Amino acid sequence: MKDWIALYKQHRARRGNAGEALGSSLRNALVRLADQGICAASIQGRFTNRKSGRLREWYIASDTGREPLALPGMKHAFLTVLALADSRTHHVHQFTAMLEGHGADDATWVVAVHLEDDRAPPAHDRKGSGACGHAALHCHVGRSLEVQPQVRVPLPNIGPAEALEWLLSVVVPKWEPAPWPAVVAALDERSDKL
Amino acid sequence: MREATEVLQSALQRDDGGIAVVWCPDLGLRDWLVSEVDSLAPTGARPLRTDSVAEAIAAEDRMALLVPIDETEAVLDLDGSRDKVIAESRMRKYPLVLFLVRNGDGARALAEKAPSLSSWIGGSDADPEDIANIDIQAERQRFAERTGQTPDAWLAAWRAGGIPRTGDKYALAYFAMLLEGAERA
Repeated sequence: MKDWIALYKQHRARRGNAGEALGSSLRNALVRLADQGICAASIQGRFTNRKSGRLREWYIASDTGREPLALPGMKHAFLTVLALADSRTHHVHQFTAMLEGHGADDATWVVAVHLEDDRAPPAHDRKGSGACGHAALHCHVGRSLEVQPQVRVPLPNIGPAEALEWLLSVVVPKWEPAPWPAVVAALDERSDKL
Repeated sequence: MREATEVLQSALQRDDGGIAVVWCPDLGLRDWLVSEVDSLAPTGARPLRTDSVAEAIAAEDRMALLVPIDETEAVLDLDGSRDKVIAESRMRKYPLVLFLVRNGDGARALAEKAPSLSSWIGGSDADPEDIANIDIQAERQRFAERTGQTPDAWLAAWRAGGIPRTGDKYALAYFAMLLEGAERA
Protein backbone atom coordinates (compact mmCIF):
# COMPACT_ATOMS: atom_id res chain seq x y z
CA MET A 1 0.00 0.00 0.00
CA LYS A 2 2.91 2.35 0.73
CA ASP A 3 3.80 2.75 -2.94
CA TRP A 4 0.22 3.65 -3.94
CA ILE A 5 0.07 6.26 -1.22
CA ALA A 6 3.42 7.64 -2.37
CA LEU A 7 2.18 7.79 -5.97
CA TYR A 8 -0.97 9.65 -4.91
CA LYS A 9 1.14 12.15 -2.96
CA GLN A 10 3.42 12.64 -5.96
CA HIS A 11 0.46 13.26 -8.27
CA ARG A 12 -0.95 15.73 -5.78
CA ALA A 13 2.35 17.60 -5.41
CA ARG A 14 2.89 17.67 -9.16
CA ARG A 15 -0.24 19.73 -9.74
CA GLY A 16 1.61 22.82 -8.60
CA ASN A 17 4.75 22.10 -10.60
CA ALA A 18 3.57 22.73 -14.16
CA GLY A 19 3.66 26.42 -13.28
CA GLU A 20 3.33 29.17 -15.80
CA ALA A 21 4.56 26.88 -18.59
CA LEU A 22 1.41 24.72 -18.56
CA GLY A 23 -0.19 26.30 -21.65
CA SER A 24 3.03 26.91 -23.53
CA SER A 25 4.39 23.39 -22.97
CA LEU A 26 1.15 21.83 -24.24
CA ARG A 27 1.11 24.26 -27.19
CA ASN A 28 4.71 23.40 -28.07
CA ALA A 29 3.74 19.73 -28.39
CA LEU A 30 0.79 20.66 -30.62
CA VAL A 31 3.02 22.87 -32.79
CA ARG A 32 5.40 19.94 -33.26
CA LEU A 33 2.41 17.90 -34.46
CA ALA A 34 1.54 20.64 -36.95
CA ASP A 35 5.18 20.82 -38.10
CA GLN A 36 4.89 17.15 -39.05
CA GLY A 37 1.75 17.85 -41.09
CA ILE A 38 -0.45 15.86 -38.69
CA CYS A 39 -2.75 18.74 -37.78
CA ALA A 40 -3.45 22.28 -38.99
CA ALA A 41 -0.73 24.88 -38.38
CA SER A 42 -3.38 27.22 -37.01
CA ILE A 43 -3.51 25.11 -33.85
CA GLN A 44 -0.70 27.28 -32.47
CA GLY A 45 -3.17 30.14 -32.00
CA ARG A 46 -6.25 27.99 -31.46
CA PHE A 47 -4.87 26.26 -28.38
CA THR A 48 -6.09 29.00 -26.13
CA ASN A 49 -7.58 29.82 -22.75
CA ARG A 50 -10.52 31.55 -21.15
CA LYS A 51 -11.18 32.29 -17.53
CA SER A 52 -13.78 32.93 -14.91
CA GLY A 53 -12.53 34.34 -11.63
CA ARG A 54 -9.55 32.26 -10.53
CA LEU A 55 -10.30 29.37 -12.87
CA ARG A 56 -8.63 29.18 -16.28
CA GLU A 57 -9.59 26.65 -18.93
CA TRP A 58 -7.20 25.53 -21.67
CA TYR A 59 -8.80 24.14 -24.82
CA ILE A 60 -8.54 23.82 -28.59
CA ALA A 61 -10.88 26.37 -30.19
CA SER A 62 -13.04 24.57 -32.75
CA ASP A 63 -16.71 23.67 -33.18
CA THR A 64 -16.36 20.51 -31.11
CA GLY A 65 -13.18 21.12 -29.10
CA ARG A 66 -11.53 18.28 -31.04
CA GLU A 67 -8.72 18.56 -33.56
CA PRO A 68 -8.68 16.22 -36.57
CA LEU A 69 -5.34 14.45 -36.99
CA ALA A 70 -3.96 12.72 -40.06
CA LEU A 71 -2.40 9.55 -38.65
CA PRO A 72 -1.11 6.49 -40.46
CA GLY A 73 -3.05 3.41 -39.45
CA MET A 74 -6.18 5.33 -38.50
CA LYS A 75 -9.08 6.24 -40.75
CA HIS A 76 -10.22 9.05 -38.51
CA ALA A 77 -8.54 10.51 -35.45
CA PHE A 78 -9.49 13.43 -33.23
CA LEU A 79 -7.43 14.93 -30.42
CA THR A 80 -8.85 16.72 -27.38
CA VAL A 81 -6.59 18.60 -24.93
CA LEU A 82 -8.17 20.26 -21.90
CA ALA A 83 -6.97 21.65 -18.59
CA LEU A 84 -8.40 23.59 -15.69
CA ALA A 85 -5.89 25.55 -13.64
CA ASP A 86 -5.72 28.36 -11.10
CA SER A 87 -5.20 31.54 -13.10
CA ARG A 88 -2.80 33.03 -10.52
CA THR A 89 -0.85 30.08 -9.10
CA HIS A 90 -1.18 27.88 -12.23
CA HIS A 91 -2.00 24.90 -9.99
CA VAL A 92 -3.52 22.25 -12.28
CA HIS A 93 -6.94 21.13 -11.06
CA GLN A 94 -7.82 18.81 -13.93
CA PHE A 95 -6.31 17.61 -17.20
CA THR A 96 -7.56 15.51 -20.09
CA ALA A 97 -5.83 14.47 -23.30
CA MET A 98 -7.77 12.11 -25.50
CA LEU A 99 -7.38 10.67 -28.97
CA GLU A 100 -10.37 8.86 -30.43
CA GLY A 101 -11.24 7.59 -33.85
CA HIS A 102 -11.46 4.59 -36.13
CA GLY A 103 -8.61 2.26 -36.91
CA ALA A 104 -7.84 0.72 -40.28
CA ASP A 105 -10.34 -2.05 -39.49
CA ASP A 106 -13.09 0.56 -38.87
CA ALA A 107 -13.25 -0.33 -35.20
CA THR A 108 -13.50 2.55 -32.75
CA TRP A 109 -10.38 3.16 -30.70
CA VAL A 110 -9.44 5.57 -27.92
CA VAL A 111 -6.43 6.44 -25.82
CA ALA A 112 -6.87 8.96 -23.02
CA VAL A 113 -5.02 10.47 -20.07
CA HIS A 114 -6.92 11.88 -17.11
CA LEU A 115 -5.83 13.85 -14.10
CA GLU A 116 -8.90 13.87 -11.87
CA ASP A 117 -10.42 17.15 -10.67
CA ASP A 118 -9.08 17.92 -7.18
CA ARG A 119 -11.93 20.39 -6.57
CA ALA A 120 -14.80 17.99 -7.21
CA PRO A 121 -17.04 17.32 -4.22
CA PRO A 122 -17.24 15.20 -2.16
CA ALA A 123 -14.00 13.22 -2.50
CA HIS A 124 -11.97 15.58 -4.72
CA ASP A 125 -9.57 13.53 -6.87
CA ARG A 126 -10.13 10.34 -4.86
CA LYS A 127 -12.39 8.50 -7.31
CA GLY A 128 -13.24 4.81 -7.28
CA SER A 129 -12.32 2.67 -4.32
CA GLY A 130 -8.63 3.48 -3.97
CA ALA A 131 -5.32 4.81 -5.19
CA CYS A 132 -4.43 1.63 -7.12
CA GLY A 133 -7.63 1.01 -9.09
CA HIS A 134 -8.24 4.71 -9.71
CA ALA A 135 -4.97 6.61 -9.53
CA ALA A 136 -5.39 10.39 -9.74
CA LEU A 137 -3.34 10.39 -12.97
CA HIS A 138 -4.15 7.44 -15.20
CA CYS A 139 -4.66 6.41 -18.80
CA HIS A 140 -7.15 4.33 -20.76
CA VAL A 141 -6.67 2.41 -23.99
CA GLY A 142 -9.49 0.53 -25.65
CA ARG A 143 -12.51 0.53 -27.94
CA SER A 144 -14.19 3.30 -25.96
CA LEU A 145 -14.23 4.67 -22.43
CA GLU A 146 -17.51 2.86 -21.81
CA VAL A 147 -16.59 -0.71 -22.76
CA GLN A 148 -16.28 -3.04 -19.75
CA PRO A 149 -13.98 -3.90 -18.15
CA GLN A 150 -12.60 -0.38 -18.12
CA VAL A 151 -8.82 -0.50 -18.24
CA ARG A 152 -7.41 2.26 -16.07
CA VAL A 153 -3.61 2.24 -15.87
CA PRO A 154 -1.84 4.40 -13.26
CA LEU A 155 0.69 6.79 -14.76
CA PRO A 156 3.94 7.74 -13.03
CA ASN A 157 4.78 11.17 -11.65
CA ILE A 158 4.69 13.17 -14.90
CA GLY A 159 3.12 16.52 -15.76
CA PRO A 160 0.40 17.33 -18.31
CA ALA A 161 2.84 18.06 -21.15
CA GLU A 162 4.67 14.77 -20.57
CA ALA A 163 1.35 12.93 -20.40
CA LEU A 164 0.36 14.43 -23.77
CA GLU A 165 3.74 13.45 -25.19
CA TRP A 166 3.20 9.87 -24.01
CA LEU A 167 -0.25 9.77 -25.62
CA LEU A 168 1.16 11.05 -28.91
CA SER A 169 3.99 8.52 -28.77
CA VAL A 170 1.34 5.80 -28.96
CA VAL A 171 -0.03 6.98 -32.30
CA VAL A 172 2.53 9.20 -34.03
CA PRO A 173 5.40 7.37 -35.74
CA LYS A 174 8.84 8.44 -34.51
CA TRP A 175 7.31 10.67 -31.83
CA GLU A 176 9.79 10.13 -29.02
CA PRO A 177 10.46 12.95 -26.56
CA ALA A 178 13.21 10.95 -24.84
CA PRO A 179 15.16 9.01 -27.51
CA TRP A 180 17.63 6.53 -26.08
CA PRO A 181 20.77 8.32 -27.38
CA ALA A 182 19.65 11.46 -25.51
CA VAL A 183 18.89 9.42 -22.40
CA VAL A 184 22.29 7.75 -22.52
CA ALA A 185 24.02 11.12 -23.09
CA ALA A 186 22.20 12.54 -20.07
CA LEU A 187 23.27 9.56 -17.98
CA ASP A 188 26.87 10.00 -19.17
CA GLU A 189 26.81 13.65 -18.18
CA ARG A 190 25.86 12.63 -14.68
CA SER A 191 28.55 9.91 -14.62
CA ASP A 192 25.71 7.51 -14.12
CA LYS A 193 26.44 5.13 -16.99
CA LEU A 194 24.31 2.07 -17.57
CA MET B 1 -16.29 35.10 -29.05
CA ARG B 2 -12.75 36.39 -29.63
CA GLU B 3 -10.12 33.89 -28.54
CA ALA B 4 -7.41 35.37 -26.31
CA THR B 5 -4.52 33.58 -27.98
CA GLU B 6 -5.63 34.34 -31.52
CA VAL B 7 -5.89 38.04 -30.67
CA LEU B 8 -2.41 37.91 -29.16
CA GLN B 9 -1.07 36.12 -32.22
CA SER B 10 -2.67 38.70 -34.53
CA ALA B 11 -0.97 41.52 -32.64
CA LEU B 12 2.38 39.74 -33.01
CA GLN B 13 1.89 39.16 -36.73
CA ARG B 14 0.49 42.55 -37.66
CA ASP B 15 3.82 44.24 -38.27
CA ASP B 16 6.65 41.72 -38.71
CA GLY B 17 9.56 44.10 -38.16
CA GLY B 18 7.74 46.51 -35.88
CA ILE B 19 6.92 46.78 -32.21
CA ALA B 20 4.09 44.92 -30.50
CA VAL B 21 2.92 45.60 -26.96
CA VAL B 22 1.52 42.93 -24.66
CA TRP B 23 -0.41 44.37 -21.73
CA CYS B 24 -0.04 42.45 -18.48
CA PRO B 25 -2.61 42.82 -15.70
CA ASP B 26 0.20 42.92 -13.11
CA LEU B 27 3.77 41.83 -12.54
CA GLY B 28 2.57 38.49 -11.13
CA LEU B 29 1.27 37.35 -14.50
CA ARG B 30 3.97 38.94 -16.64
CA ASP B 31 6.26 35.90 -16.74
CA TRP B 32 3.31 33.74 -17.68
CA LEU B 33 2.49 36.04 -20.62
CA VAL B 34 6.14 36.01 -21.70
CA SER B 35 5.96 32.22 -21.76
CA GLU B 36 2.76 32.41 -23.81
CA VAL B 37 4.30 34.73 -26.41
CA ASP B 38 7.42 32.57 -26.52
CA SER B 39 5.27 29.58 -27.51
CA LEU B 40 3.54 31.63 -30.23
CA ALA B 41 6.78 32.57 -31.96
CA PRO B 42 7.04 31.43 -35.55
CA THR B 43 9.50 28.66 -36.39
CA GLY B 44 13.00 30.10 -36.55
CA ALA B 45 12.22 33.21 -34.49
CA ARG B 46 14.38 32.01 -31.55
CA PRO B 47 12.73 34.29 -28.96
CA LEU B 48 15.23 36.30 -26.91
CA ARG B 49 14.12 37.55 -23.51
CA THR B 50 15.91 40.69 -22.43
CA ASP B 51 15.43 43.74 -20.21
CA SER B 52 17.71 45.86 -22.43
CA VAL B 53 16.27 48.07 -25.17
CA ALA B 54 19.62 48.09 -26.99
CA GLU B 55 19.82 44.30 -26.94
CA ALA B 56 16.23 44.00 -28.15
CA ILE B 57 16.88 46.37 -31.06
CA ALA B 58 20.11 44.58 -31.94
CA ALA B 59 18.39 41.19 -32.17
CA GLU B 60 17.45 41.69 -35.82
CA ASP B 61 17.01 38.05 -36.71
CA ARG B 62 15.18 37.04 -33.55
CA MET B 63 11.89 37.81 -31.84
CA ALA B 64 12.96 40.05 -28.96
CA LEU B 65 10.85 39.79 -25.80
CA LEU B 66 11.57 43.06 -24.01
CA VAL B 67 10.66 42.74 -20.33
CA PRO B 68 11.88 46.03 -18.87
CA ILE B 69 12.93 46.61 -15.28
CA ASP B 70 12.03 50.29 -15.63
CA GLU B 71 9.03 50.61 -17.97
CA THR B 72 9.19 54.40 -18.35
CA GLU B 73 12.86 54.31 -19.27
CA ALA B 74 12.27 51.53 -21.79
CA VAL B 75 9.40 53.40 -23.46
CA LEU B 76 11.42 56.62 -23.67
CA ASP B 77 14.48 54.74 -24.97
CA LEU B 78 12.40 53.08 -27.65
CA ASP B 79 10.79 56.40 -28.55
CA GLY B 80 14.24 57.97 -28.82
CA SER B 81 15.43 55.06 -30.96
CA ARG B 82 12.38 55.20 -33.21
CA ASP B 83 14.28 56.23 -36.36
CA LYS B 84 16.87 53.50 -35.80
CA VAL B 85 14.19 50.89 -35.17
CA ILE B 86 12.23 51.98 -38.26
CA ALA B 87 15.39 51.89 -40.37
CA GLU B 88 16.24 48.42 -39.12
CA SER B 89 12.67 47.17 -39.28
CA ARG B 90 13.24 46.47 -42.97
CA MET B 91 15.94 44.01 -41.92
CA ARG B 92 13.94 42.67 -39.00
CA LYS B 93 11.90 39.52 -39.66
CA TYR B 94 10.12 39.36 -36.32
CA PRO B 95 8.50 41.95 -34.07
CA LEU B 96 10.09 43.40 -30.97
CA VAL B 97 7.58 42.55 -28.25
CA LEU B 98 7.36 44.98 -25.33
CA PHE B 99 5.67 43.77 -22.13
CA LEU B 100 4.03 46.53 -20.11
CA VAL B 101 1.78 46.47 -17.07
CA ARG B 102 -1.74 47.62 -17.87
CA ASN B 103 -2.27 51.14 -16.41
CA GLY B 104 1.34 51.11 -15.18
CA ASP B 105 4.22 53.55 -15.55
CA GLY B 106 4.99 52.36 -19.09
CA ALA B 107 1.40 52.85 -20.20
CA ARG B 108 1.42 56.40 -18.84
CA ALA B 109 4.78 57.16 -20.46
CA LEU B 110 3.52 55.79 -23.77
CA ALA B 111 0.40 57.94 -23.67
CA GLU B 112 1.94 61.13 -22.32
CA LYS B 113 5.59 61.20 -23.36
CA ALA B 114 5.98 59.01 -26.43
CA PRO B 115 3.16 59.85 -28.85
CA SER B 116 5.16 58.93 -31.94
CA LEU B 117 6.01 55.50 -30.58
CA SER B 118 2.41 55.09 -29.49
CA SER B 119 1.16 55.95 -32.95
CA TRP B 120 3.68 53.59 -34.56
CA ILE B 121 2.53 50.70 -32.37
CA GLY B 122 -1.00 51.45 -33.57
CA GLY B 123 -3.11 48.31 -33.29
CA SER B 124 -0.18 46.00 -32.61
CA ASP B 125 -1.06 45.61 -28.97
CA ALA B 126 -3.08 43.03 -27.10
CA ASP B 127 -4.42 42.47 -23.61
CA PRO B 128 -4.93 38.69 -23.66
CA GLU B 129 -5.86 38.43 -19.99
CA ASP B 130 -8.68 40.91 -20.47
CA ILE B 131 -9.97 39.06 -23.53
CA ALA B 132 -9.76 35.71 -21.72
CA ASN B 133 -12.39 36.84 -19.20
CA ILE B 134 -15.70 35.39 -20.33
CA ASP B 135 -19.10 37.05 -20.12
CA ILE B 136 -20.65 34.58 -17.68
CA GLN B 137 -24.31 35.33 -18.29
CA ALA B 138 -23.97 35.36 -22.07
CA GLU B 139 -21.98 32.11 -22.07
CA ARG B 140 -24.43 30.40 -19.71
CA GLN B 141 -27.23 31.34 -22.08
CA ARG B 142 -25.28 30.06 -25.10
CA PHE B 143 -24.57 26.82 -23.26
CA ALA B 144 -28.28 26.34 -22.52
CA GLU B 145 -29.21 27.06 -26.14
CA ARG B 146 -26.66 24.51 -27.33
CA THR B 147 -27.43 21.70 -24.90
CA GLY B 148 -31.00 22.42 -23.75
CA GLN B 149 -29.77 22.43 -20.14
CA THR B 150 -28.12 24.83 -17.73
CA PRO B 151 -24.41 24.12 -17.13
CA ASP B 152 -25.29 22.82 -13.65
CA ALA B 153 -27.98 20.42 -14.86
CA TRP B 154 -25.73 19.20 -17.67
CA LEU B 155 -22.81 18.67 -15.26
CA ALA B 156 -25.05 16.76 -12.85
CA ALA B 157 -25.87 14.32 -15.66
CA TRP B 158 -22.19 14.16 -16.66
CA ARG B 159 -21.05 13.41 -13.12
CA ALA B 160 -23.74 10.74 -12.78
CA GLY B 161 -22.29 8.98 -15.83
CA GLY B 162 -25.31 9.71 -18.02
CA ILE B 163 -23.34 11.29 -20.87
CA PRO B 164 -20.90 9.37 -23.12
CA ARG B 165 -17.22 9.97 -22.42
CA THR B 166 -16.23 11.31 -25.86
CA GLY B 167 -13.85 14.16 -26.62
CA ASP B 168 -16.54 16.65 -27.59
CA LYS B 169 -18.43 15.90 -24.37
CA TYR B 170 -15.27 16.30 -22.29
CA ALA B 171 -14.81 19.72 -23.92
CA LEU B 172 -18.38 20.62 -22.98
CA ALA B 173 -17.85 19.38 -19.42
CA TYR B 174 -14.73 21.50 -18.89
CA PHE B 175 -16.54 24.59 -20.15
CA ALA B 176 -19.54 23.83 -17.93
CA MET B 177 -17.15 23.62 -14.96
CA LEU B 178 -15.85 27.07 -15.83
CA LEU B 179 -19.40 28.40 -15.87
CA GLU B 180 -20.31 26.45 -12.73
CA GLY B 181 -17.33 27.96 -10.95
CA ALA B 182 -18.65 31.38 -11.81
CA GLU B 183 -22.03 30.53 -10.38
CA ARG B 184 -20.52 29.48 -7.06
CA ALA B 185 -18.50 32.67 -6.78
